[in-house]
Amino acid sequence: MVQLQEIDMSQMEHLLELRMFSYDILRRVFLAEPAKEFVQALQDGLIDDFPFREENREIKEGIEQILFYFKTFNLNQDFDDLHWDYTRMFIGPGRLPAPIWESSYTNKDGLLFQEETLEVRRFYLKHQLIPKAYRHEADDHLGLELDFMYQLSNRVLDSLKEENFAEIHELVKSQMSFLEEHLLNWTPMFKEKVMKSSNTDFYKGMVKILTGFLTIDKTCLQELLDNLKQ
Amino acid sequence: MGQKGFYLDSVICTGCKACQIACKDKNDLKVGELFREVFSFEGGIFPNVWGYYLSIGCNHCADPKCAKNCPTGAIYKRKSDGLVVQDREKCIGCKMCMWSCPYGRPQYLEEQGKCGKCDGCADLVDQGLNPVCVDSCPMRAIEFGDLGELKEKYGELPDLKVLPDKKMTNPSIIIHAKVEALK
Amino acid sequence: MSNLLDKAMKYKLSRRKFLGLGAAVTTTAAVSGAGYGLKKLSSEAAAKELKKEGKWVSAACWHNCGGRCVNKALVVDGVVVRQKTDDTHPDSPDFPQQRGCHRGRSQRHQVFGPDRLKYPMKRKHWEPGGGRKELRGRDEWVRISWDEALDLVAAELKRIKETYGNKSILGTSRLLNYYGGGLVRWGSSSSGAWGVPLETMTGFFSWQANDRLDWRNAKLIVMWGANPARSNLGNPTYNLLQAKKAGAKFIFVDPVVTPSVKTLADQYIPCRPGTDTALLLGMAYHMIVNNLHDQEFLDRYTVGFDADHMPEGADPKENFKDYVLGTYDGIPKTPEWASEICGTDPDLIRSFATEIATTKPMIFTSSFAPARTYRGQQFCQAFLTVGWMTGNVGKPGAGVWVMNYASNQSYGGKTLVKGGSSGLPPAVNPLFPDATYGPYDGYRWANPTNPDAHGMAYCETYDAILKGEYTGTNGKGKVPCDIRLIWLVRDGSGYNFLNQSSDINKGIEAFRKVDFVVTNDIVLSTISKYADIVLPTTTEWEKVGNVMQGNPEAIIVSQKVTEPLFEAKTEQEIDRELAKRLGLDPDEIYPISEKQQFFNKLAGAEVITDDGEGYEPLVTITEKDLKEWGVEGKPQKGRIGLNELIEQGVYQVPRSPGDNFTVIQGEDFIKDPEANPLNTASGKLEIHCQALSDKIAAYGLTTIPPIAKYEPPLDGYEDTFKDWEKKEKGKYPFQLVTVHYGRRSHSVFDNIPQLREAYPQEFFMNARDGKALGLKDGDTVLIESEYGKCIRPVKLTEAVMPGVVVLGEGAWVEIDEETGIDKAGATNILCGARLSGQGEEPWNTTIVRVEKYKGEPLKPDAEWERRIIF
Repeated sequence: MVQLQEIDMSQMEHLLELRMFSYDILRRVFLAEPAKEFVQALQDGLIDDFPFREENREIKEGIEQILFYFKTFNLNQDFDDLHWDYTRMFIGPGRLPAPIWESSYTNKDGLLFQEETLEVRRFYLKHQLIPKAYRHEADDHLGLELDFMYQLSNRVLDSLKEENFAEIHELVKSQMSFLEEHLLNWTPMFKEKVMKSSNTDFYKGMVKILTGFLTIDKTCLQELLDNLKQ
Repeated sequence: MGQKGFYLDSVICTGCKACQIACKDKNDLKVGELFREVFSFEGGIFPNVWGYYLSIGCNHCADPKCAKNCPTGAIYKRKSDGLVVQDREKCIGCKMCMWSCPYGRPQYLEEQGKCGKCDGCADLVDQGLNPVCVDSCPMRAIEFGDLGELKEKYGELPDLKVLPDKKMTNPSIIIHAKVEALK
Repeated sequence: MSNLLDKAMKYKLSRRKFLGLGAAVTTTAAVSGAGYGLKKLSSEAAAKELKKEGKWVSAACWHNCGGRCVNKALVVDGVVVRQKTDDTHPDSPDFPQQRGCHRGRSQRHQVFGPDRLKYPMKRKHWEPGGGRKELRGRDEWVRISWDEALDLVAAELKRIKETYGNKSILGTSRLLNYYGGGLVRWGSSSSGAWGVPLETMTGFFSWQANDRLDWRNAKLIVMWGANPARSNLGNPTYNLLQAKKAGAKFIFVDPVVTPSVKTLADQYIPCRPGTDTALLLGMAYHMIVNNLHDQEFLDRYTVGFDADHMPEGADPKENFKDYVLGTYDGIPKTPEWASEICGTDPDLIRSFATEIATTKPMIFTSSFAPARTYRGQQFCQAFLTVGWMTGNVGKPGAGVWVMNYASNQSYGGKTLVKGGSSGLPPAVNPLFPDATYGPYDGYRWANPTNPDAHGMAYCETYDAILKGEYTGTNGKGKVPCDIRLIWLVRDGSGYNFLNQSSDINKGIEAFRKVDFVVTNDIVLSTISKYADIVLPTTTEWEKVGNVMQGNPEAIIVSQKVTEPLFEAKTEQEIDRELAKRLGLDPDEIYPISEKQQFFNKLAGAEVITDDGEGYEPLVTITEKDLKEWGVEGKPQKGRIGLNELIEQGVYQVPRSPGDNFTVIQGEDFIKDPEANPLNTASGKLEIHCQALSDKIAAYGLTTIPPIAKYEPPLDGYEDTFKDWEKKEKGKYPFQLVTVHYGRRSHSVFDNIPQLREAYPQEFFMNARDGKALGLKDGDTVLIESEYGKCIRPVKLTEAVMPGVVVLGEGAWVEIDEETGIDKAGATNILCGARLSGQGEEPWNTTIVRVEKYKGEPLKPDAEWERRIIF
């Protein structure tokens, strides 16, 4: 039986909440075009709450870049630019300078709906999750992969409340695998493309926070695993 | 269980590159990585111009220098049919095979940091199927099978101007070449 | 070792803030569409999905390459994990597999590319009426919902129709035809000037060939302007090889030593573009003065060869023989006369003429390319006349015909198996009753001599938009017009005419003038790039299934490979939605579902009977099938079960020498021309054809005499000189030939990396010509015509005739905003929109100048990171 030793339950709960919060922010940023309400909330201080800027240089740089962007950002005037930045890089209609699907970086010609997509889909299915627009949207969209991490982070938190440590262990292991086998593999290349092609400090900053956080989250998960060992 | 090899009828090859593309697809190759490559040769002065194409994959040589010089033993020659194949796991990307092959067939796969080469679609051959290049050719210009049988049918590999001396590695291929290609 | 659990404590999370964020993850409700994010599944449902196994399905290869071959995909839950080509029967020369070419094998790149159009998009600065029209092609885009897109499109269509009338709409489609129709662009692209000559001179007799196996009986096969190794992929070159193995000698006539010449030719005859008529006249002269022509044949089966055999009412002086001899114009069309024009050595002209006159049986076949020239009818007339002079018609191993789709090149005779029709009733365009509509609009040229036909020639489209008038047919003179809408919501994603029709620069100007441009597409091709609203449509892989035909011996049955990607819809779904908003009844326009249409094509498929005389149903359909499919139909007996056929993906009729499918084209006519007259004015083959002259005159563009005569074409060889006598070259000294290029099927596949690697879209030039300009192989060169500029890497080769340059048609135009120069090598930047004959686009009479490009050299196409899928 897995038990918690030498760990403050409230400490663990706090870390898990931070993870869930971070993945929530990230999935909202990348899942779809920016929503005015969300951007406003970020500008109003939500981005300041993003954790681990002291522990990860990329997160720090990213947050600073976004804060800088928000200094002169006026929602009514500048929202369109943000919207077009996302549309142009990740949706189209033309050639995409920064495709937002894993398979674009892992198969030889950058195609969608390839074998890698199936692998991601199987990961979701094993946890009884599936894209809402299943078969129409590619499963390995960054937003969906981040949503997956968010959903599982949520479940870990729930499991903690139920004190189901075996379940926590499984979920943490799954998230670790998903980071190592999927997210961490391709997001560095995605970041490079965004840095080269984005016209706004917003997405440039966000993509730094993304890779920074994924990196540090791996360490978080490892710590959790270590702490869950007998 | 004899040496297997390729026959290419360069006289009827139109250089369409279906074989090159089929091979890339099967081996998941990116731009710049060509296990099988189609080369074009031309000469003469208009209107008396000759031309021909060569589609070359690995020649599965009798004395493969790539295998001989591979430091990890990743590349080796199968005893069953003489196909020169590779265990990609063992490859360390030193490129010795590329330096050793007189035909320049091994390729550097940059993202993997390793080398790769045509292996005669050994996995398909083991199922009794043809390498994909053979079945993709619209002119039916490529054949694959027992080298002895191919030699009986088509004769020996002639000496071509553009290919290295066959005595170097003893390639298991036969080419039906145009007269302008011959030494 | 960092202890993140500790460090995390300093990051306070205001619970209120955290939960304060609404549940809606996405942006405005308008575009959440199918919804974002993940959702929960029950464990049973999840387990079921996980268990799904792979299945081989027949994946459509639907392109306008003329071929259509078998490609199969191993699909696991909508994901293609592997591909293969035809392996449904052992391969042999008599019964060959339908192997997919290098483009078909790259098909999944098209379907699954990240640059697929995924959602309806609207140009940011468009509004009803046009908005900032000058930004078409360089604007920002906004994603919109289907509802918004359809509402906008319907509203604008309605507004324009009600304000300006249907004649202000350029376009035609099933939907549009139920809504009053639109102006039609008519003309001829692929087949050049061949249409009306074949119709009037031969009653289409010469557009049919002997069957594939009979070609092996020929002693000589002349391929005029044909390069099947690149233009007719699939089996044609292999079929021709069998004829060669059976003893046929091959002679190719071309300005280029093509791959087909290298593979098949026993002899190569050079000829400058647009001058083939002169070459043929020179040959005719040699045959006439040496009495090599088949006078008996000409007397019995043709009219117009000499003064004694003229059709009724014709001027006896206007006979072909006297024209060639120069009896009345004082210019004998000797081989020397011809040589100055066409560049072929006079002795070669003579020996070639002798050879075709004295070798029997001979197949004398032309591609369309030499007729894709200004006033190309003259070539057609000359080709047919000279062919007929040899008497090689209606016998085994013999024929004079034009057969150049991949489906027909090396094939002929009867269709051995064919698909049924969809069952949709025809939807006639009220403004253009004769036209076919669809992705290849005007492909079969329409008959605009009909007074009820409203529309303009392909090459007059842009002037019509810009100047407000076009040339009416049938003597109507200039017809005023006020075009407000370019409607390209059409069947199938094809018809990229802004890229594929002459004079792209003028086209862009025209596109930037109208109120509204709407297209449906699978990627942002050139024509969609300059649109206001683009609607994402499905490829054939995402549709219910289809029956397609390539050559006459096989049909391909394709299945659905995957669900529509993102929010793509089929064209019919889009039409139905638009119909509702226009107050039309969608069920009237599409009374049967797409599934029913597919079923009808299968149920109606027919195969030739064993005796070769008739047809019988191909597919066996049972009550069970009908129930499973949920379609209307009756059980029937055929040769193959419905499910079996779908799984097999192809049905090909086996052939063998001596089978019952031999067809000798024209046999009956030759045996008894009186009892079997042709569908021409005289009932015979018309060397002198007044109907041709009259019909061409009715188009109102150019004129053509009733017999073959050489008149220097606009932008032909003569126009490369400023002084013909002294042979001093002028401003545009090179003749450009625009060929079908291996990378693409027309403009399709241009964006595929491995195809860009295999085919670099190089600009070919004779090595000595290049050297004289100080060029080295691989230099970036600037190519310029009166109409525009391109840059390309140059390939110096002796395989191209001196004075001729070659560039593949179909590259997606990529204009550098600063310099105005196209970087991709889109040939229609260079080719002007000139009006000719029956509206043929005269691409192969184009003249250019070339120089080393002084700007930054081009990167190889395969490395254009921004251009390719990434």
